[in-house]
Parts: sequence; structure tokens; C-alpha cells
Amino acid sequence: MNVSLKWLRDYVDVTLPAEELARRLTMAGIEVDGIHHVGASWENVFVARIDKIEPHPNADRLRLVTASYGSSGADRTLRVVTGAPNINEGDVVPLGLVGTRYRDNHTDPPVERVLQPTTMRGVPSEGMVMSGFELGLNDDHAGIMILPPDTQVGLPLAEALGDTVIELDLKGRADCLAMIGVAREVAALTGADIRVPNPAAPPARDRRHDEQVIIEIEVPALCSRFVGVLLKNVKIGPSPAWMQERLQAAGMRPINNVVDITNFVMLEWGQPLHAYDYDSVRGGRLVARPAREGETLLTLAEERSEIRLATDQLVIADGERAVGLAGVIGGADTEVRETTTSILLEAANFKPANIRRTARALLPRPTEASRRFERGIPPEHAMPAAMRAAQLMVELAGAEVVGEPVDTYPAPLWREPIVLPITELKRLLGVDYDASTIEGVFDRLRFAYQKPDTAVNGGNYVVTPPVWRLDIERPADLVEEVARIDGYHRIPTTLMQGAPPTPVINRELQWEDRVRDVMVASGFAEVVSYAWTSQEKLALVPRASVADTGDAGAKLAALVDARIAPNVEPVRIDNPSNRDQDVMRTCALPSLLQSLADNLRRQSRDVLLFEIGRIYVRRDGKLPEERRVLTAVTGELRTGPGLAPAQIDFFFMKSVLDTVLARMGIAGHGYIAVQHPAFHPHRAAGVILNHRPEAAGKKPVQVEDVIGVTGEVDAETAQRYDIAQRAYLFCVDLDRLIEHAQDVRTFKLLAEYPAVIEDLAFVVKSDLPAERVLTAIQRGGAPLVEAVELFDVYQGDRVPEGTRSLAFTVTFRAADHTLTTEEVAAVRARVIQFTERQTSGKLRG
Amino acid sequence: MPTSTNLIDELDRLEQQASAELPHLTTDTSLDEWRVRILGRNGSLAGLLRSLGTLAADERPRAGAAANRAKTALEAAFSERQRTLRAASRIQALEAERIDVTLPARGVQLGSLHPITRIRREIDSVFTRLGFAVVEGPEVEWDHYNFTLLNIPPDHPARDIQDTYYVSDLQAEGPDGANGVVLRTHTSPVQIRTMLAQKPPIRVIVPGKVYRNEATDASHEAMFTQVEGLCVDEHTTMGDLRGSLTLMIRTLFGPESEIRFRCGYFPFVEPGAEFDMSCHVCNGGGCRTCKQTGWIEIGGCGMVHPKVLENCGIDPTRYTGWAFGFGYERMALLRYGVDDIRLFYTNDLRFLNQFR
Repeated sequence: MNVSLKWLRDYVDVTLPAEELARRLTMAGIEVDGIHHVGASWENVFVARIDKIEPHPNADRLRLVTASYGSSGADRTLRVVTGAPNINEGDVVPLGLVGTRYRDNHTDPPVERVLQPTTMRGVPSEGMVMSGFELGLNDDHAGIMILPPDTQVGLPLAEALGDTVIELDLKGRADCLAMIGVAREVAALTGADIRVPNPAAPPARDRRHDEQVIIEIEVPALCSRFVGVLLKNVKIGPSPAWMQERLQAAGMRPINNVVDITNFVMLEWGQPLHAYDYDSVRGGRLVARPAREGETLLTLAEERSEIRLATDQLVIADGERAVGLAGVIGGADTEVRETTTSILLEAANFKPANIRRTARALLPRPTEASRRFERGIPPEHAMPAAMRAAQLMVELAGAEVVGEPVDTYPAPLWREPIVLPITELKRLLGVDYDASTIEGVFDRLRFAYQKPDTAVNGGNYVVTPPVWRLDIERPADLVEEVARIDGYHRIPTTLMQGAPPTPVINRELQWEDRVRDVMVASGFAEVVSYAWTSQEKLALVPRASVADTGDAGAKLAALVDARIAPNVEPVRIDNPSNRDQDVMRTCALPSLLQSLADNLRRQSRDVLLFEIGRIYVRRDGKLPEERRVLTAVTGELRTGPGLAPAQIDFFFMKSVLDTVLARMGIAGHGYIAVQHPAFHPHRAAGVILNHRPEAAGKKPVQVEDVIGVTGEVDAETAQRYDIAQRAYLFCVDLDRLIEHAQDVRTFKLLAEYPAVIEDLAFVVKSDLPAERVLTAIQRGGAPLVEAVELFDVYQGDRVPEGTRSLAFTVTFRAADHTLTTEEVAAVRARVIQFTERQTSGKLRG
Repeated sequence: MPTSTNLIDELDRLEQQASAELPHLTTDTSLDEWRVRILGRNGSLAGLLRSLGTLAADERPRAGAAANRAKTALEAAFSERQRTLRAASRIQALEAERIDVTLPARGVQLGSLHPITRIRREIDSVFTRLGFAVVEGPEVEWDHYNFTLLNIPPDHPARDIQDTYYVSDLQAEGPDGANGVVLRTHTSPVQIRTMLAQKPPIRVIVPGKVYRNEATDASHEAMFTQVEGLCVDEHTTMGDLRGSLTLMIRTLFGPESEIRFRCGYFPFVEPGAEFDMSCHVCNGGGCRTCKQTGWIEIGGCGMVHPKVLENCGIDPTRYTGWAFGFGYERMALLRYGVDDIRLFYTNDLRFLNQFR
């Protein structure tokens, strides 16, 4: 809502500077978004009279205008060249001298220019007669702005037309979508008096039998009141300058006196009105009724379009057809035209939700009327607004009121007074107000009230808000009124009293944060990706095929995908901002690969990224599962001169994952080679909880034990992101890990007796996983083998082709005594025998 | 018969000659050769000592003392020379191991926490100290929780304040029997879920991603991160809200920071307020950051609307509640001086590495 202070002063004295007024309104909840000083750029613009118009000697389209702008007898005249067609000798117009700043609409977007002396087709031009657009007043650039003939010539234009417009961003207060509403608010905040125009009915002549007006409401739930007024002998013409000026300041375009009056009264009272051409209304009848099946309506004016109506939409119909979309827009058939002489004026009240739904369904944007109705306006305003418009039509359009207004108001609004316990203010705000403050606020806001009296009202205030404050319904609303008018600064700065609630630790977030710290210490930068993506982007990272052969690695890939990239239809957004953001992601890998690629493209090096974010997994009958995943990605690491190359490879990523799991207190996990189409066929592993290497190949991996994948990204996949180097990824289901996370550590007694530490090497087939040998050593020597660590892998001339040597450090220890040489020899023999049998290998002598 | 005088002279000569040789010996081998030749069992000194026995008994003490002196002196000179040589060779060995300490460190450098994570932790810690629990909830949420129970029924104009992404392809029935689903526009639905599940006293903060179907620019993102706080108890007031926010802002921006309430409209609070903090750049004097007003807009807050409490089965005549909400991004922009909100989600290492 744009509020012209010039206009506002018609209703209330504004003595404060605009900035201070804006501050007070904002503090009181009427947020001021901007202050526009109209005329601030008009230092060199004056009101001038056109004395003479001559043809241009060298151009048909141009004319020479001689205009005088001298005041109090001073003779000041200029000759300017103009192409404007709409001026006549004697017109009063704005005249810009050299140096005037103006908006030039010959460029797109328009630019501000400074007027220079110029010569047009051989004739010098010393200034310019200006359009509303050039002045920055409105969008009218078709012709020169013609001022009212009584405007004082010679006056700086800023004095004649200057104004300050404050722009209100109204989220709540529907009553302030009206000048009177804003004026009431200003009066309450500044203590000034308010002047509301007297809405008395103008004198009317008797109704003749052929001048009937019938108003009907078919559905009172959708239309609570409908006032109709008949006016005759209307002379359509332009509205007076003061009215046009006000409409323009509010951002509306003047059309003709009748339409302008309806708009003016809407802006003044907040009550939308509609003027029908009475002679086009069949049967003198207006009915508020639901649209019929298949009914259509041609809408008026520029919005003109045929709209197809639905039966839950309310129309205004005459005796035969729909003539308007109730509370939203009028119809073309009954539109006021230049030839119109009789007006049927509508002032009605409609159900907000229905108006909103209808306007949204049928129009690209809300209308000034629907914007007001959908927020709710008081039915009590229908009559005064109708009377105000009738007065103005009599005054400005020569109209004659016919008969009494027809008022259909089947169930007048009744609002229960609000009982406000005096303790309520303190209870909600923590502020002790004295009675005079509370009552002062009520008085300024025109709230009627009974003072607290134990005998009469139980010691409570009983408050009846004025009709225009439909937003005041409950004690809490009254508390806000007192607080905002008296000032929110009165609210103290305190903290909660009494015992605090039992603190609750958010286990998930706590683990998330601990994992974040591990990842950061491991060198990774945290990223946050958009939750939305597209099917095409998701498809850049291939999925394991579901139905698969007997191959264990391929089967495992399907289990991995079920965890981190489930094969479900992604959740689709109805109204995405972009076509490539129309589904919620079901996998985080594409986001991270994209971020890696973006950073490489930006020439960053050593790119190590991780994200803890959600994937959205559709479920039957429920909201989607929002599964937390930890995803990490790296490219290659820079190596420097004189440095051993720090290496990023499969094992780097594996060590990071091991560190994360160690931090989470999760033991017994393992890695099983996986053939997943997004990864290098021989450099990727499924990450498995409750890992039992000894069961490898015998028992299938349990689906609930699979938590994710780590590996080198398949080159073809990397290529799709223009990643030209080796890249490594891991992704694990963090929710699942958190379920298994252990915060508590249990102390075990430190070993009391010395260990015997020996190295043992076995030659085994090259493709036998090292882990199998390690496990065999452990099992063969149980329970005396405390630890086994691999320290060397050899493959080459000194072992047979197709084999490799794996060397382990084995720690033997007994919990209750020092091992004897004989015991060690015995257990060593057991280990060797068992391991050779299990691995088909040989001890390396 | 040799006299003691002759012997003493010979001892002196040996001591002088042998000592004079030492400084010329620069290797372990030559030094060892010297030791064998002079101090060894068949060395020069031993030879002289053997002749002690040929002296007359009364000459022996004097010559014996001289012999001991010479032996001690030569041994000391030897040890000294040995120490010197060892020190020199250690220096040489260490010299060979000289490194350039300005070469870059090996291995990966420290990563970084996302600035939003940093802000979240700072704010979480203020409120957890005040006894608040941190709770989360779904981002794909029932319309009923995101709007209706928050006093924003269907077809209410307040739905325009938050441009919404809708999801209509779920085969699921919500708590109201309808199937309206949205990407949550705020984390308030988690407040609703909390109040439906838990009786007062309630103290929770709710961080999380939220979604608004808005055009993006330097200060608007369509996906951003919000935190909301909710306190419901028998005697808590808007003063406590102000106190809690003041504590937060002072923790982040210093003890001079102040909170200002302006009346503001949100359908789920009454009284409602927008809250500003005093400008941390100019301390309220007026500068570019605060557009010369001395105050910076942070978020919205207020006393939980009685209808919202009723919707969640909490008696508004017995309990009061307050709530607040704001964007972490906004706070991070202020805290770190970032000038474009979109930087938070471009995942650019040049940006992220500034938050190590």
C-alpha cells in the first residue's frame, strides 16, 4: 500500500518528518518499506502556460511551443521543440529548464538524463514540456502532463505537485489497506485528531417503477452483505485533478470519473466497490450466487479475457447471466462506458477464503479488490463506502441518487466483547502496566471498554474493538495492542525462573558433529548441497542393476545401492524453480562429484570435500524417509618438490572411514570387493558391519550389515563431470552408523605378562585377500594370539609366479602367565599348520 | 745404573712429544694407533714404567710420582682429543642431515567446517546451556503441520508470506486426513510435533533446512537454514524471550549488544515481534551495515498464539510460550562479513577454506 502524505493529511494532521513517522509506524507493526519523495528531482521544473504553438519549419511531427513561467508579473518565456500531440494553447504544463533531471524512456531500461540545450532539425530548444513518465510521477509517456487550469503558473512544480509517499508492507493489519485505516493508526500513535469523511446518504429522488433494484444473496456463507445504489443522469468524463493525483500516488491509473470514484473510495475506506452500467443489467437485479456448470465470463478492461467458471466460485449475476466475478473483477457486458448514464453501485462483503481461492484459480495475479477481500473487511463498511461514493458521484459526475439504497444483510456480524483479565498483560509480557496506560491505549484506538469491577465483570476489562479491527479477537490481541502503542521497549530482559527441564541430548546431531570433526581433521572441507536435483543429474551416477547374476561382487553392489542410492521414484516438487531442481535427491554422490568438478574447474587443487546431508526415500503411506548419509570425495593431491608424495588412493579413503568408525566406537567392520558400475571394477569395496571374513564366500552378506561403499570413481562416470583425474568417493548411511555408535568405552585390564612378538611370512596365491591369511593366523593361534599386523607384501622374483608373500607381526600372549619357549613353539606350529591349510599357502622359510 | 733424574727427563720428553702429536691426528684410526703406541701395553709409556724397577729403592718414589703424572696427563690429553674428534664427526653427520624447514608440510592440511555449521554450534551451545534440547524434523512435511496447526488455515492470506514448494505425488494420508505435503517453509512444524508429543515445560531449539520458492539474489536463497526456539512453561514471558535472545547475541557479538523488539505480524504468535540487534559494526551509531539505523534485522518472534497452543492440546490459560526464528545464513553474513548468501551453497573451496 502506497500512502501519499498529502492525501493522508486530508484525514489527520501529520507534523512529524516522514522519516520519523515511518519509524513510529514500523515500530508499531505497520512496516514501512520505503519513503519516496515525489519531486525531489524537480529543482528546475516549473508550472508554465502554453502561449503559442507553431509548426516546425523542417519537420511535420514536431511543433514549437512558447511557454511562459514567470510568476508575480515577472516575464519569463521559453521556446521548446516537442513532438507531443496532446497539447493546446492555454494548457498548463510542467516545463523543465536546462539542467532538469528526467527519465528517458527511449532506452530499455529507462535511464535518468540531464536536460541539455539542443537544436532539433535546425531549431534550438531551450527546455522541455514534460510527461508524467519523464517526471517520474507515473508510467504515462504518451503525452505531456496537463495540469489543472487553476494551477499557479510560475510555481516550482515541486510546490504544486510534490509529495512524500510511504510504502507500507502490510502482512497483518488488513484495516491499513485504506487511507482512513492508516490515518487512524497515525492518530493513535501521534495523538492527533482524525477526520473521517461524513458518509451520510445524499438526497435522493423517489424510485420510479422502471427503476427497480433487486439484490439477492443465494449463499450467505459466501456473501454476508450486499448494498446496491442506483444513480442516474451520470455524465462520464475525467475525474478532477486532485482525485487523479491521489489515485496516481497510490499507484492506480485514472480512467473516468465513475471508475475513479469507486477506486478512490476503495483506497479511502478499504471497501472495494463496483459500478455496473445499469442499463446493461437485465431485470434490475443483482444476485450473488455460485457459478453454474459451464458458465463463462468476459472480464472487463485491459484484463479482458474469457474465463471458465467453476461451481465453487461466486459470481454476481443479473436476471440472466454472470456479470462479474464476486469481489475479484467485473464483467465486460455491464462495464461503465462513455455512453453510460445510469449506474448500479455495488458495495458488498465476501468470504475471504473463497475470494482468495477464486482469484488464484482464475487470474495471473490478485486484483486490488481481491487483495482486500481475501484479508477480510468489515461488513459495516459497505454502507458508508457506498454513501461516500454516491456523494462523490453527485458532486463530480452530476449524478442523481434514486431511492433508498438496497441493503441485503441477512445476519449482521456480532462480535462478543473480549474479557481481558488484568493479569494477562503481566503474564504474557512480564510488564506491569498501570490502568491509565492501558485505558489510554484503548482510548486512542477507539476500543470501547468496561473498567475492571469485581461486581460487574469479575475484575476484568471487557473490551469491544471498533468494527474495522477484525483482527482483534482474543485477550492476546489486546495485549499486543497495549504493548505496541505503549512501545515494545517496555518489555524487560529476563530469564526463565524455576527448575529447568531435564536436558535431552540429541544423539544424532551429537554424532554428526563428532564425525564432522574427524573429517575436518582428516583434511576434508564440509560442503552443503541442494536437496533438490533432477532425474537426469541423478542418472549421471549409474546404479547397480537389480536382477543380477550369481556374482557376489555384483550382488553386493545392489545391496550398497539400497543403502545409499535406493531405486525409488524420487519425490517430485510440483512447482520447482528450475527444471533441473524438480525432484528431491535419492543419492548424494552426484552432488559431491559436481562439487569436486566445480572446484577443479575453478582451478582449486587438493580438493577434499565431505557432506553430511539427507537423501529422500519415498515410502508407502508415509512421508519420505530422510536418511542421513556421510559422503566424501577427493581428487588427486598436489605433491611438492623435495617431498615424498602424500598419496590419495583407495587406502587413504579407507583410513578416513576407519577413523570415523573408530571415533564412533564401531568395531568389527570390514571391506568386501564390490563390482559397482560407478566405481573402478577392481578398486571399490562395500563397507560391512559385523564383518566375518572367515565366512567369506560361504554365507551371503546380510542386507542390514551393508552400510555403504568406498572406492575409486569409474573413469567413465568421472568423465561425465569433466573430471580428468582419478577421484575417490565414499558414502555411508550415517543413520545406521549412529544406531551402532558407542559412546561408552569399557576398561580392560592392562596385560600383566610379557608378550612374545614374532614375524611370520606366508606365500599365498596373489588373488587371495590378505585378510584371509590374517584371520587364519588369529584363529589358528587362538586364544594366545593377541594381535596380527601385516607389515610387508612382496611379489616378485623371489616367490613363485602367481603368488605373493605376506609378512605379519604376530603377538603371542597369555593373560595369566608368562609364555614358555615350549608354549610359543607349540602355538607357532599350530598357527603355521592352520594357516597353510586355510590359505593353501606355505610358510616362507 | 739409570738414575731417577734420567727417567724423569725421559717421561717429560715422552709427554711433550706425544701430546704435541695429538692435534695432528684427525681420524679415529690414527688416534687409536697413537693410543696403542703411547698408552698400550707395549707402548712407550709402559716401557719407561718397566725401567722403574731398576732404580734404587730411595729413587723410586720420586720417579713413580712423575710416572703417574705423565700417565694421567697423557690419558687426559687422549680423552680430550677423542671428545674433540667425536664432536666434530657428529657435527659433520648432522650437517649431512640438514633440511630446509620452509619446505611445505607433508600430508593433507586441515579441512574446514561449513560456516553454517560453525554458526549452528555457537548458537546451539548458548541454548543448550539454558536447558534447551536440540530437535530435528522432516523437511518434506505435512501441510497440516507446516501451516494449518500454526494458525495458517488453507486459503489464508498469510500463506503468501512464504512462497511454498508443493509436493502432491506422495501416496500418503496426513494427520488431518488430507494429503497436503510441502517442503517445509520454516522449522516451525517441528515445534508443532514437539508440542503434540510432549507436555510442558518445553524448551527446544530446532535447526534445519527450509525451502522458499523465491527468486535468489545476494540476500535470498531458495534453500536456507533456520533455527527456531520454543519455550512453553507456566510462568514464562516475552521478557524471557528477550533475555534469551540478548544472551545469544551477546555471546556472538559481545557484551554491548542489545536486542530491540518491533511489533510484527506472524500468524502463529501474539503478541508478535520482529527482533533487531544493535549494529555490531558501529555499536548503534549508524553505518553502512545497518543502513544508518543502528539496528540490524535478525528475525521474528513472539508469544505462541493461543490457538496454536490449543491446536497442540496445551491449555493457553495455564501455560504461556514464546518462540523465535531466524536464518543462520543471515547470522553468518553478519558474523563473517560475507556479502552474498549464495556463496554458502556453491561449495567453493576458496570460500570454504576461509573457515578452517
